[in-house]
Amino acid sequence: MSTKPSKTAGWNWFLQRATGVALVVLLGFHFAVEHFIVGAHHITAENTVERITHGLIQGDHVLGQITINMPAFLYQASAILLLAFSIFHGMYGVYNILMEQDALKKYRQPLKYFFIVFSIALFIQGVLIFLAFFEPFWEIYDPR
Amino acid sequence: MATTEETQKPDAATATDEETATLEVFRYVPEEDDEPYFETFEIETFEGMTVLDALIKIRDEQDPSLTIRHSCRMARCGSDAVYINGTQRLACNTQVREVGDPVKVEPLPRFDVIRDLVVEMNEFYDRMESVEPWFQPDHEPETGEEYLQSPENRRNIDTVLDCIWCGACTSSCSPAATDSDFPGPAALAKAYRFYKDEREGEETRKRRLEMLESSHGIYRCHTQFNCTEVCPKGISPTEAIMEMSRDAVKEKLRFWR
Ligand code: FES
Repeated sequence: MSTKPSKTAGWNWFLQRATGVALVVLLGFHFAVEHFIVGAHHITAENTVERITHGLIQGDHVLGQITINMPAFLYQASAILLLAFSIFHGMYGVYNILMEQDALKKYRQPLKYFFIVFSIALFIQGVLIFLAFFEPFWEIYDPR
Repeated sequence: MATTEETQKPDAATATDEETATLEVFRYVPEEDDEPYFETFEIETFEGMTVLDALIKIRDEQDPSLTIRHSCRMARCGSDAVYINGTQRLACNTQVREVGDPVKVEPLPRFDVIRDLVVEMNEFYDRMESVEPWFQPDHEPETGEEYLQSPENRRNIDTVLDCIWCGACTSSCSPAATDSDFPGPAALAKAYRFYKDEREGEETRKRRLEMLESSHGIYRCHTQFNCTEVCPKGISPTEAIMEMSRDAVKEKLRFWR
């Protein structure tokens, strides 16, 4: 066994589990809204703007006609947390699986930094898309 | 006069009790064979016949070159762990008629084969040794005193004390298969046995936990419970590992102390 003590392994293990539990809740909410209330085929730029900027969730899909007007900051927090937690959980999970392969252990440092930089880049990309729904930032990210 | 019970007692030697079974046995002598193959044997079985009995019968009556490691024949020594119909089991603790027909017997997966069903155990013993599975008390007891352990503390480690080092759990564990730095379930269950032993003292307990927290230690467990499912002694290494992981994280969360 590698006896090199690790200061971060315990925290990472804890965060992996904590984000796993949080993702069950956040993904549950995400699926409920996008697939059962609004419906994937009925998602439009307009109703997405309504959800993100005003917390207004409206739809007539699997669960029937539903309107929920939740505090905007709550919906926004759920979106940002979903983004952050899914990136951490997914990237740390894949990194760990790679580190459990004896053949890849010699690439530990480069792989670690690749995953850190890639995760941060993904998060920034996600935040830019999120910000683009708010008027002063419309120009920041234009997928066209 | 014979009682009803006596007259109905099944006799292993009676012809009516006999059935045949097919055993498909893994064969491989690395120095002689290009690749492993399965050889099929038909044997007569009897009520209660174990897979080890069957393999010994084949060796005695059909092929003396068939090689299997065994000793106690009563699930105590752990030397005959093999892979029977897709599960790690002790051959001496598995009845032929329980596992279906044919009975496919292979060496423990993820261990190097020495010959037929005999695998190289040195790497497994190295993993066991890596967790320092010996008693290391902080202090010697006073002259004339003994190392005393409370009955509750003894009960806490009861669950893992039965380990017979057969390697079934480590063979079933996927992180142990790919990560040679990970001690694996048997070693970590053994580490738990000492980690929980109050006679070692707080200093050793902390040192053990720090050692187990290394980057390829307790946190590598995927909580798949494969080890728990295959352990012939009913031990749950997964639960032991999780308890140590929770303890380690709880100590970190109390960072203000
Ligand atoms: S022969 Fe000893 S455990 Fe099976």
